[in-house]
Amino acid sequence: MTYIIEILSILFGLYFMYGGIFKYGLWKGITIGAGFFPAVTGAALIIIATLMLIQKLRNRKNETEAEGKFNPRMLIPVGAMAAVLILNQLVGLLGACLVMNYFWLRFLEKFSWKTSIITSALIFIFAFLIFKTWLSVPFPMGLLDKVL
Amino acid sequence: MNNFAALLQGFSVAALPINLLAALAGGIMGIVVGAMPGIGSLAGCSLLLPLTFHMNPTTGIIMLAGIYYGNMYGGAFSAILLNIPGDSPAVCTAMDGYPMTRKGKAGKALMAANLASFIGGTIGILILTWLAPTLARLGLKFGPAEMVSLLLFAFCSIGWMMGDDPKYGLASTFIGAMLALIGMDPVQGTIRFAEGNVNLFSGLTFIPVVIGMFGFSQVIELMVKRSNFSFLGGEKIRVRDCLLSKEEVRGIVPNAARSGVLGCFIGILPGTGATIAAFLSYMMGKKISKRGKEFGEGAVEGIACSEGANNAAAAGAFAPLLSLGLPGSGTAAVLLGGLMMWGLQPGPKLFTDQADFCWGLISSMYIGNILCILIAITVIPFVVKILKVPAGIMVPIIMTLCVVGSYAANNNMFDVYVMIVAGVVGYLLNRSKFPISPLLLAFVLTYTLEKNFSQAFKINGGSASIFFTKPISLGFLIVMVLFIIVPIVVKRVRGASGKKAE
Repeated sequence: MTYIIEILSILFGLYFMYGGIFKYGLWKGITIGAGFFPAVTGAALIIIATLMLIQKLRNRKNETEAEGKFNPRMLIPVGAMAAVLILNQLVGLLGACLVMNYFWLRFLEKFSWKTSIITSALIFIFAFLIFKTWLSVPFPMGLLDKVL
Repeated sequence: MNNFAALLQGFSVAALPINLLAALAGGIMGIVVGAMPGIGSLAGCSLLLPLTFHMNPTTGIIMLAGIYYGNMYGGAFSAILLNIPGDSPAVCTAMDGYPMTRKGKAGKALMAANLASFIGGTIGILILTWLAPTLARLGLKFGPAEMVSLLLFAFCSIGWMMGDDPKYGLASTFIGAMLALIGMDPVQGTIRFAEGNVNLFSGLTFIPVVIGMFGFSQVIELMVKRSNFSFLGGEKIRVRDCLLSKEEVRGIVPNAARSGVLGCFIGILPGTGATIAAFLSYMMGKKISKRGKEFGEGAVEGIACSEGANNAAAAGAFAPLLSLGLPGSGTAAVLLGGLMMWGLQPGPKLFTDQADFCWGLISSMYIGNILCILIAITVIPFVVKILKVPAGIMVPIIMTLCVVGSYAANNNMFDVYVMIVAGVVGYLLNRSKFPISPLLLAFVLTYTLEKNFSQAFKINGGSASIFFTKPISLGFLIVMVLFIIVPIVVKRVRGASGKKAE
């Protein structure tokens, strides 16, 4: 976890620099090519991220245990969002949010089933009235689109 | 007829009951829409444009203008209360507004935002009143070379937001720039780094990235820290808790006024708009303001800089729109569509041939600005009560708004995926002490910088001399160099003096 950002930054920079130089070209006619900015920013990021990684490696004895540790609780909201994306195929986006909110409130936050249902319903109604009814945002309806 | 007399005549048009109602309705809708994440002023004006189809042109454009600057008021609400900017100009507002909310001062933050919006908006409208055609001609003098120099100056100013270790800020800046480079190249149309994904052909959309990095990353942080609190706990909300002290007002007014002037001029420039105005003004305020070092930790002056600029930019965008028919922003383009729909031809003659329309519109902006602040101030004590809701219930609300707001930006599920990834990345960056603000500023500026950079070379036959031969461009470059060199020289001189004294 400790060095992940620096390593990813170096890889990101390499990807952009490679694409900028070899795929898109640095110069075209009398002006910069599509690869000029990616190559320059990629190279700059590689240099900076490398310096940061070296600095962190030198100072790793001063790092606390907590700073480097991966906390699995960060996966809970990500998992909830993944569930929304899957449920979206079945009951549409607003419906998926409704279901996710109920399960979140009931099983994660340990509210009663009554509070969970009422709260998720209110959130659903608010989003439906403002975004769907008033602003006419065409939310996906999932399988409900075919049924209705 | 001089401008003052024309303005007074315009007030007689704006004060008609139907036009007052249009300004009020536009302001309310603008505030509500502006507070909704994902629905920025462009989408808001586009979605609400059909409402004006059956109105006469003056009433219709008054309502649209009300929606536009009402959006600027509304964007601050969700930024301050939920750390989800309602639209992109409110990103800087969130940087100071949300920390104030966490300290239980949400009411004050909202008051500061609305007061600054009013001051900035008023200054923008005043400048528009007296200088609209002149400003529009000034905007025309900004060609590609001038824009590049201005934007390089802005990039150089990012250093003021870099935090303790400049390497982290620089890395954030370059990451933001690289994210902006995904998609179609602005000049040659080459699709870059899309890897065959059609959704990336036009690049990453700013709103889902912002919602993810601010809103969803905050949810992840709340889960990791196992926070279960409400920002107000058992405290009662009193109206006087939302009022600003004299000292706070003294801090807000000059910052909002300065930001108003800067924001108006930025708003006039083509391709800039309220987002860039807010960022530049915030960075300048961080450097110049007495409490600049506290920006990002809950300073009302930070909110004032952002909100003053974005409202003034909204007014400034009307200068090239009315005088030259050139929209200064995407939203102004929608307004231009409205004008053409009603058979009006923007240009210098609009002020003479359609004086009632032009001056009625400008007068209504004064009235609308007053109406917006009255509406906003009235609802603050009620809106702040949202914060009494425990985090356990706020989290699903925030997550729903993140999903719905990201989708609403382009009506595309891909943006929801982008929001989720941006949220995880934002959380990891925050955890690793990378500042987010340079990333977002670079994301906003890079497209325009690259486009103008390429155009400048094309105009000058491939030579970079254009940046030094154009006076305005050279001026910005000199100022940029001075901004970099002078603090270093001063530091060294002071250091040498200190050693001598010892």
